[in-house]
Amino acid sequence: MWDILRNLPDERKSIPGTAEMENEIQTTSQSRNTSLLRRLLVGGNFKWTLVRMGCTALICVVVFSVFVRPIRVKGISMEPTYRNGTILAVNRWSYRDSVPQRGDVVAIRFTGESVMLLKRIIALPGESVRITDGVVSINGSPLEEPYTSVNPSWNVKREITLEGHEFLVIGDNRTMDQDEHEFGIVTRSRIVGRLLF
Amino acid sequence: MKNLIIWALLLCILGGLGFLGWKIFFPDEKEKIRELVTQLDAAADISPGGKPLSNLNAAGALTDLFTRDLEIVVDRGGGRKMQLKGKDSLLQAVMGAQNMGAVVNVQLKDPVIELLDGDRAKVQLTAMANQQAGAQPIVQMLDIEIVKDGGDWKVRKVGTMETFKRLE
Repeated sequence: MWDILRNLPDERKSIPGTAEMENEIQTTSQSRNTSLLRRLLVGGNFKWTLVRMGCTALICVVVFSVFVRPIRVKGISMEPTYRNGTILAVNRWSYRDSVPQRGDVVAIRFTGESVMLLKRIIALPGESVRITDGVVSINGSPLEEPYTSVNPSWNVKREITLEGHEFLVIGDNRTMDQDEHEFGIVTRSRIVGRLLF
Repeated sequence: MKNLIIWALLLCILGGLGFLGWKIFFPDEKEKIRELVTQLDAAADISPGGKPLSNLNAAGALTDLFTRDLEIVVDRGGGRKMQLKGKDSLLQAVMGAQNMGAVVNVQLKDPVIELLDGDRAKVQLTAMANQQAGAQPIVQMLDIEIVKDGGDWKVRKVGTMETFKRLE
C-alpha cells in the first residue's frame, strides 16, 4: 500500500485522514486499471492501432477471398472423416501448378462458391472405373480405401472411362444408400481446391 | 497545389455519386434480372399457419413473377420429377403445400445471367431448400429461362441441371 502511496502526487500525500487517503488509493488503482484496459483496447498510439487494424483487415480479406475459403460441412456424405457442422478451409490455389490427385478431398462448386460439395477424388482422367459389390475398381484393379467401409449394395455395372478433364468424386460415407449419396463425374473447372485442414 | 488536390478529390466523389445514381435510377437489363431473382428468392419461401387470405397473397406474390405459360420441371431425386405447367398449377401447388403445413426455406445463390437477346435471358443459379431445421438441405443447380412480358422480366421456364455426370 505504501508503495502506491509513494507514487501519489505530493499534494495528495498531504491529505489528512485515513479514510480519505484510502479513497484516493482506490481511485488511483481504478485509474491504473482503466489505463491498462485502454492500452489493451486501443494501444499506446491510437493512430498506429488504427493502421494495424486496417492492415490486419486487409490481409484477412485478401487471404479469405483469394487463397483460402472457409466452409462449414452440412450433411453426412463425408462421415466419418468430416462430421456435420465441422468448420474447414479450402485452399483455392492448391491446383494452380498441379493437378488433383486420387485421395484428395476437394470442394466442388455449383454455379458459384456460396454453396459447395465436399468429395474425395477416386478416379483420374483417362482411367476406367467400375463399382462391384461396393469395391471400386480402377483399370480393373480394386482400389484400397482405408477411409471408408465397403457397402456391398453399391454397384456400377458398366465400366466408365473418364475423359481428359473429368474426375470421379465420391463421399466417404458409403453406409448411405447409393441413390441417396450424390456422387459422379465432375469436370476440372468445377473443382475449387483441396481441403487445407 | 493543395486546392487542386481538393478539387480533384471533390470531382472524383461527385463522379462516383453520379455513377451510383445513374445505376440506381437507370439500371441495365442484368440489374433488372438480378432484382427479379431477389424477388423470387424472397417469395419462394413457404410458411404455414397464416390466414387463408395472407396465404393466397404470398402464393400470388410468387406466381406474379412467372409468365402465364410457365413450365417447371424439377428433379426431386431418385428419378422422380415435379412438373408444373401454367400459373394456376403453380398457385395450387403452393397453396396445397401451405395447407399441408409444409415449411420450405428457399435460398437462391450465385446467379449467372446471360442475355440471349433484348427480350430473352438465361439464368443459372444454385437453389438451396431447407425443409426442416437440422436436416440436410437439398441443393440443386437451376436453369431458368426469363422473358420480357409487358415490359417486365418474368420467369417462363425452370429446369434442373445435373450436379454430376452419372456413372450409369
